[in-house]
Amino acid sequence: MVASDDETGRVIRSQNGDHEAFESLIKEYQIMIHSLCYRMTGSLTDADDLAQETFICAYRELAGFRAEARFSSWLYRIAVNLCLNWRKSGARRRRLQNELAGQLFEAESNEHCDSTQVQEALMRLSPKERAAISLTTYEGLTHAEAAQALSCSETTISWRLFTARAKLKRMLKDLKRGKDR
Amino acid sequence: MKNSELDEILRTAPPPKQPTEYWDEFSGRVLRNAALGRHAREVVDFHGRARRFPKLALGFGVAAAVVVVLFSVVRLDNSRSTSIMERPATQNEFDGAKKYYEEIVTLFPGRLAAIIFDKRGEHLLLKDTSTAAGSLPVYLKICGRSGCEQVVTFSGQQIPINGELCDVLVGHSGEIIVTGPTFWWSSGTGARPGERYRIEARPLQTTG
Repeated sequence: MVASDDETGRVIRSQNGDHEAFESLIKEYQIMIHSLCYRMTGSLTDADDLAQETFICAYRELAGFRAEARFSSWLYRIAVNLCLNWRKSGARRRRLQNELAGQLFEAESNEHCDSTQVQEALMRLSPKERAAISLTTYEGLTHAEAAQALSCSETTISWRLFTARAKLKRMLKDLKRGKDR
Repeated sequence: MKNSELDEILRTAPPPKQPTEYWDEFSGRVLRNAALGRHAREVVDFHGRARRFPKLALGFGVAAAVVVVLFSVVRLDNSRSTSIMERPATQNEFDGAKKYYEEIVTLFPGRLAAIIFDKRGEHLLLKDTSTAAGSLPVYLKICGRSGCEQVVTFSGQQIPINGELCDVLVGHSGEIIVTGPTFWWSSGTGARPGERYRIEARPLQTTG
């Protein structure tokens, strides 16, 4: 997996202190990282904080980045690690419940309702299972790429995906029935 | 349910959308916080070193206590003679402001309107559009009844002084003018009796 010349150039310029180059990298990956953080936490507020923290962390550690992997894979790894360290304190849990309740209240269409149900189901997975689903199903990474981002073997990814899918199928079977009708 | 059906259900559930302005400002927020975080880390590093060298920390503590006592005595003395705190800018303050400016301006080229150093720390005033480009930075130290603040800004910018928005202008002959809703000051005329602020201003010659 090799980074494009343009991306490599911008990373090197960023490493040499070119803030505009780093800003362009942020702009390219901001939505992707924010979505991943939302999938991992189920909270828009926490996703905002974690996405920002991901890029701040990348900015600090940029000198240590080697262009053997894609910049995006490196960002995924930082984001997932931050999200895995995200602790469900009592306050956070309450905030998340309030946010989900708010989203349900605001739901005007079935589609929005489905989104909330799906996110609730994702939140019932273990964080590592959730990371595996987020990276492969949502971000389109291969098992090998996801394994690299999560610092584990491909076999571990496959097993986490297998258990995560089994749980999600059970939790979302009603949603499927609704769609079939 | 097949895996493909599950994936379809998962993919048809998008995350909540953020407004366009959120994404427009996102990178700026990250760079700003990254820059401020670096300065905070310098402070943390200092405290970390202090933990490793307790005698050094004790020495610093005693020195700080002496400085606080001296400062209180000087302040008490000043408050007897005048109600405005008059503390001329030291070379250290000027150099510190200049160094900070040189670091920050590269992060926000053309968007930096002012840097304010007050008792709560450093604050950046940024503009969405390129407004400050072309004009040279100026350094101001403004002392009033509530204390002093230092500002690095540009001609034509507005800065808050004690809750009032004031304009900073540089005249043809290089004099620096500060005008607010209730006062007017110029480096050409200097201090005037009865004024509310003691202001010092000079161009900030940068190395960049």
